[in-house]
Amino acid sequence: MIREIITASSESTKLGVTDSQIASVRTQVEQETAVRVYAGGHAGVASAVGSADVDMLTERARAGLGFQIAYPAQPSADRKSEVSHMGRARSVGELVELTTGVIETLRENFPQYVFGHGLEQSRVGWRIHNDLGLDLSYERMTTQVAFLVKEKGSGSIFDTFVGTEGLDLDAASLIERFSAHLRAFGTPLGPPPSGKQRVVFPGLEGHAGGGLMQLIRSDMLARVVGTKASVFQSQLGTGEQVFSSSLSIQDSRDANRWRIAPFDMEGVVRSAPDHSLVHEGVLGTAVASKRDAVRYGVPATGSGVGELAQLPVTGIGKLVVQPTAERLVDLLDGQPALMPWFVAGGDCTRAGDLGMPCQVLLRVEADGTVSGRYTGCTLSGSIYDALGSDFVGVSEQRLDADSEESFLVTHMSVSS
Amino acid sequence: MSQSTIDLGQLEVMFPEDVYADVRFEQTVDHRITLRDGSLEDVLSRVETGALLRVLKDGRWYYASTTDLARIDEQLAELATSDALSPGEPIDMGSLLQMHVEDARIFQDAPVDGVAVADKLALMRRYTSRMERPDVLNWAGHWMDQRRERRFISSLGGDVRHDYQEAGVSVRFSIANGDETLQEMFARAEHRYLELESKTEQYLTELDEHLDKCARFVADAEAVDAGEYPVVLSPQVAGVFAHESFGHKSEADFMLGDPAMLEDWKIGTRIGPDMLSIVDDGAQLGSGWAPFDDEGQRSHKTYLIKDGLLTGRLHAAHTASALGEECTGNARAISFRFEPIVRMTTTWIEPGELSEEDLFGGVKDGFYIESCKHGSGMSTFTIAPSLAWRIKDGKVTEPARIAVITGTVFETMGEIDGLSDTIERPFLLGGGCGKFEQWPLSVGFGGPYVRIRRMSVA
Repeated sequence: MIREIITASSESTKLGVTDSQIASVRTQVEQETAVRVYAGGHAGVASAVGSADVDMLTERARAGLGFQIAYPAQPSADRKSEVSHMGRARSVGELVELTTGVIETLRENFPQYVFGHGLEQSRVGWRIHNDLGLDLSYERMTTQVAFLVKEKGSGSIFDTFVGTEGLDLDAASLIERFSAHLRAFGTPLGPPPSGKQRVVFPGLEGHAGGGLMQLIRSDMLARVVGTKASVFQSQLGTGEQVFSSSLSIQDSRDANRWRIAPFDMEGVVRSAPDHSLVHEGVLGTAVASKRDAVRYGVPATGSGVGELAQLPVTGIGKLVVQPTAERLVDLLDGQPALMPWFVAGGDCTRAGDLGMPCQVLLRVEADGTVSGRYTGCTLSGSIYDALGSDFVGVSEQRLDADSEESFLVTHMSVSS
Repeated sequence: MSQSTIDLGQLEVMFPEDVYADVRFEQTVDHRITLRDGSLEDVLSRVETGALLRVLKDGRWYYASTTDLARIDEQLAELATSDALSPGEPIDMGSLLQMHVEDARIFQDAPVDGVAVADKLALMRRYTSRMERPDVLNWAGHWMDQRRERRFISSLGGDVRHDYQEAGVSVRFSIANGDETLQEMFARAEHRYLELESKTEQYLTELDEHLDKCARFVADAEAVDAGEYPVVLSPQVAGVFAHESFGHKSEADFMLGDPAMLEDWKIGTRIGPDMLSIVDDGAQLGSGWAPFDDEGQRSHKTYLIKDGLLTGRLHAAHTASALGEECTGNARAISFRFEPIVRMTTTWIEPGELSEEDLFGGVKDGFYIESCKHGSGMSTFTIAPSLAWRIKDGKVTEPARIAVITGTVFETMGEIDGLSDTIERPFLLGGGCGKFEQWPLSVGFGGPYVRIRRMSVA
């Protein structure tokens, strides 16, 4: 029997902002321990939150072997590493000072808005080690600020938001960025131009950019491809040009570039940290955990994800689109564009048709700055066009100095 | 796989003096079983015990979440000496909160965690056996049960215990016809294992019918011409509409610091037609069951809209204090890790007077939205349908492939022109509501069939 122990710990301090002032402080401390055991091609797992008796967990995990859960792969072995992305740790007083500095200025300069939510400093860490000489650990400390912004009297629960996450946030920089957004948001422009327009997606996370990547995330998994249920089934492995030749998408575990762990939940460290999902418009290979790789006869890609309490499943972590230009302005061709800042309730059908109801749609000037807010509209189109013939490119430039997200520029149809 | 649990009733707390303080102890026992494409994928068993501590000092809240129950008194004392925040408006918890001392647990007679995993697995296999058909490409079956107990104790003398539990099966599957695929799901849950087991034949019949319907959908669904159409929402989708479009706007924390909104949302303001009433009630059995909230307040029926007029809103103590209104039993947290915020419980649209036949009969050319993947309700309300059908001359006809239906929330409320005379409130397995950082919270919602004169369909 092989035993593997996974621990996760977290500590956080959150300042809650209500009605544009700090109204609460919350501290959280938590530790979770999981034990996995492997024997005879089967696996068992047990976990506990809080103080844990590892021997008791081992016994419970061993009892779980009785369920005969197939685990036909070998556990990871013979690798040690420690990686961390540790940002500045502030005391509660320093966090209050930072938050107060930002919120007071915003409140004074933008009295028409009510600010809520808050700032959180968190340290998370996890470690996976086993009887086969595996010992990998990762730790990260970041500070995240997010303000939900409500226009007084708007009737909405909130109208826009500003925020970022970084290793060491700076009040002056936050004020400058948030103010730029709020000035644009507070400058009404009427309805956006209709028809096909140049659109700037602020990153691939969240409802806006996330919609573009929905089918990549759901249908490039070993299980979906292995059961022939992928929408990309007929194109996989054919070398067919599915998307723009400028488009390359990776599932990255590159801890040198991103604040992510370089290993997955099965303790796999990829030989090359980026797995290619799309290369110059041609589909790559599906991602697979070790277990799914055996089950579906595909290569394992170090893509085991999930909670500590469960056996890992296949999933995609950080999606990265290869930059095609240095700056956003290089992708605008001297023309203004539209930026869907806040999309609520959009969806992508299995046929690849996108519908994105934009609650906040900003105008982007040819120099890359945001200047005003159009009335709400729906962006629509096919992902095969948006990432194909209509695709313009992706910037190396990030959304802001702390962000790990780039701008993606394409064309989509606008209807008010 | 048994794990140790503790008796929350035996825990004692020494509250600090001169401040309001409370402690919410929580213990949850979860079991999850996953079957994927015929193979047993995972068996998860987890016990979590922890507490959320709150101290109100100089009008500001100090919280700590912990799994170290031995240090509760010490941590409360630390919170009581905190002075990190500048003082705020005083909150008189004594005048806001009603002190209850009550053991309101109702599921001790049949705890779901007492059922053998083998029995759960066997029951689950009966559902997943229905996936053995040639048009199902892949599937994942999930068994989920959770038993949760909370005890709230306050420095003012409140001491309430209550519990919640659910057990259910969900199956997600991909069904195909040629190159066309549809990803759908089927889920059923009850509070007690025996209730679920006793309804197995009924639920299996419903699963078979659902699979057949999905097969028809994937074979025949056609894209629609975008435009404005009359729409009928199923009770499930009507519940999403009630929850997302209006319920969240009734949560009073969104009104703090905004006197203009308070003026616009004055009680008595007309929101919809006379036939429209929307209710929230945590004392309703089902997935939104919360007989007491996380400030120890008893839940009760709160009309948000009655006869088309704005009638009430949902509160926690701090919002009730700020707005000079009364607590409604809606201060809720997803777990001991978080402080309570204003949340819904079970929210539904009350029934109207039309038969289903008459309701659909009033649509010449429109769409019936049977199920949805998700919905949202900012200033524009959006639903992403999963199964949708064309209505022609009052009859539900061929399947329709729709990406989203949208409408301005208040215009859409005003466009409701028919409600059926019965309601359904499906049991939502595993919760589902998210707000800020807290997701998923167990809630319930439902309603009658709702007819809307026009919505944007794309």
